[in-house]
Amino acid sequence: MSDITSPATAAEIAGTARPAWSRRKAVLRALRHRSLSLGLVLFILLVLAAFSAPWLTSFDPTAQEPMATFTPPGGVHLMGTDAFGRDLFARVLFGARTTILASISVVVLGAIVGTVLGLVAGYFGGTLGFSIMRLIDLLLAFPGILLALTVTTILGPGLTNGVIAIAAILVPIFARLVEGATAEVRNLPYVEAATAAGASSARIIFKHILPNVMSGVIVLTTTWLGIAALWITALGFIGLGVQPPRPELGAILNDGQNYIMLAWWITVFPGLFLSLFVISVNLIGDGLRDELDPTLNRL
Amino acid sequence: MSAGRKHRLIKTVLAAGALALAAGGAQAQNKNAKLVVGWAEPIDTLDPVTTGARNQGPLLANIFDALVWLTPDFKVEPLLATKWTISEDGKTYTFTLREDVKFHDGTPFDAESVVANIKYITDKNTQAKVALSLLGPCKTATATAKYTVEFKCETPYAPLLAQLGVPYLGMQSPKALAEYGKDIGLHPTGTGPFAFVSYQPNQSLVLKRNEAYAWNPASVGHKGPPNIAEITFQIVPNAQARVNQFQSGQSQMMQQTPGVYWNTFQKMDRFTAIPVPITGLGIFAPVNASKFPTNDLAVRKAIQYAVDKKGVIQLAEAGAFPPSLTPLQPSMIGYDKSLEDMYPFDPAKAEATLKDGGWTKKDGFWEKDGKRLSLNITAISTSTSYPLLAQAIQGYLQKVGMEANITQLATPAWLASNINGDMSLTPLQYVGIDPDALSNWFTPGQYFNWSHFNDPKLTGLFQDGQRERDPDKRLKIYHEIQKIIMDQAVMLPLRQNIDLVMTSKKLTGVTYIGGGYEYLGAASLAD
Repeated sequence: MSDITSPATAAEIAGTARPAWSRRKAVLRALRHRSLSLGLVLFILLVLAAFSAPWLTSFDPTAQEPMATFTPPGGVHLMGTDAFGRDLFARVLFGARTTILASISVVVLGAIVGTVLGLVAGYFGGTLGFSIMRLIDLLLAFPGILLALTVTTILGPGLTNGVIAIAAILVPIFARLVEGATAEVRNLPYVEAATAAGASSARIIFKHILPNVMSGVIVLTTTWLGIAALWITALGFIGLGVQPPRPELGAILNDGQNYIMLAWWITVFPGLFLSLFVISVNLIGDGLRDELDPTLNRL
Repeated sequence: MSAGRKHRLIKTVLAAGALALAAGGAQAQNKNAKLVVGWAEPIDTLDPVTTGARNQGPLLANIFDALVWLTPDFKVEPLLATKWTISEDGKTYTFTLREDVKFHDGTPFDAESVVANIKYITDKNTQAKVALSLLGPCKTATATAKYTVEFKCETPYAPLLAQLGVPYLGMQSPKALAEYGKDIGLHPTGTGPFAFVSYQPNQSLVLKRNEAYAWNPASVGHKGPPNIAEITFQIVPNAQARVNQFQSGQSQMMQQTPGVYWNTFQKMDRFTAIPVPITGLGIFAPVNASKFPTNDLAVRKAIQYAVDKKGVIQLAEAGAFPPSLTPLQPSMIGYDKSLEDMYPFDPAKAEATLKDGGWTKKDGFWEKDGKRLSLNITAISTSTSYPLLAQAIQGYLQKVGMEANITQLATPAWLASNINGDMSLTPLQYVGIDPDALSNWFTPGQYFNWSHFNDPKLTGLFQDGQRERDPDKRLKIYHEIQKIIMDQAVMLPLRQNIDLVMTSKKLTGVTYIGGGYEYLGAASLAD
């Protein structure tokens, strides 16, 4: 990432550019990192399963079948059926696709907005930076899920609004990190050099500062991906996320909670998928943190 | 009878002498029994006047007595009033009251107490809900003697007598009303078989036996104070948790049993199943007659044919309930059996109805003038059953090419969408004991006119129904009203409203007030 810095001089002053041999070494070292590789394998498997759902099952995840409600796992219905006689395997896979896509959208949206706000606040400082950061502090003061609930109450339920709501929780977290890192970097000689060379603020921010704060953003993105997935499912669980009958892991968990003693499979399979997904993301996040930036341990 | 219990009985007899012999000698009841009930919904207030919740009714029924007792089949019996007369013009009701009744706080009950209660209900500052609507146009009460009270109505109002038996019109102690003011909801003081002990919000309500109780309604088959010493209503909204609590013996009674467990538990001999019919309009969905596409009668009729009620109940509630096929619930005055077959489940007919109405099918969905037939089904997100019903309905509508989207909303947003008419249909319940309950739903200007329907003929019929005193003529009026409602298809009846109550075999004598309010004043719990 860091070798995309363009004016070679500036990058070399900061010592961020890496020769090719060092990059290969980094990749090798990363793969030797056991938790990182385990997490990656798990993550790829789960995502593949979710995104190839239409080829893995011929069942329509929303097709109701009054004669086949609560079929136990095995046979035609690999994971059994739910109260509506819908095939649970299809629902979990299609549901996972929704959950995974939504959580990725959440972190990407949160990261982009948060990073831009943080860069602007950190680079310009002054009244602008101050006002942005106080606004961020205000958002940070809200307990996360409460903020999400407030946003969905205003915007109405639904997947898109759920994504916006949870991204709103992540924005201040990213903005805080990026603002700190930017304020640190902006006084370094290579930024001064770029300023002296007549580069515009936008160019300095995106070409010189951004690449140097990026590693932190990437680590934060993976750390929060798992949490975003949990929040998306939480919204689905309380009925404010994806609207039925569209499957989503949280909504399926909610379907199952009333029958847990009679039909454990409705709860167990989506729960298992969600747990494995969050574990894989956390393993990747931990590994990346070790590899990319040991100083970020406090996050 | 075990030796221990016999021993205890003998001791009781020896200690209390002849009095105990009379009471305890009939049967060996456990007079110290403590009953735990798994309750399904949080309590908003224990003031019968300001609550708006149906599930509050049973709690109130055990703390408060009303003037009359309504049997499960709607016969009116004496309770706090021993007899009554209705004037020729139907506008004046005169009640003679019992003279031996005391409130839980020791205040004697008399005609002035009734007057104080009615004043409290009709006071603008009270914000009365169900209680006020139950009084109808009869909003003044006067004490004509110490134990005689007279209700005056502005217009003749036939439903009054039965409605005075509903727990929301339970009599509260005038002393407590004056003393606690706005906090009366935390200090419920009635004359009922059980008296208030404590209340922990979202946790429990504890009641104890009213030792002075001697004015039991005749038909419950029990005289004197209740057999049960203490009742704890534990508030467990999560259905699974309520089931676990009951199954493990931590509670001896639970309400709102989920359909699947209702079926399973009925096969076990440890439990007794008590289906308590809740009268009113049942579980139904008002259909919005003012918004596209349900402003088209053909669409409304097609919905009626397209939804298989039995299938919906099977999918959403494990088939534990009978379907509802008419606006009013069976067992109610005005129920019209002839309407049951008006809209059989017939997908082909649903499609034919749409075709006749000028709709064409394109890419699997119906459309007219380039606009797709798309319905918005809303459901309260916090409810266990409504989102499931919505999904099942949606499934059936999609099968005949009617697009339907579900929006789950928290209660305030849901109410707003109903009032603004943003939804096409939404499953809900409405409770009432008189067929006049329909007028709240299908008269313009009423709060509950969520089908946004206005038919002057129907409005006129509702007025006739309220005034008519002749039972047979009244019946005819409500049959005609229901015929219009079904012809216009402005409501989709779904299932009968029944509180599925499960009790341990040890608990006997559980009964209910007409309308569906569980009453434990005659119950006993064995060791």
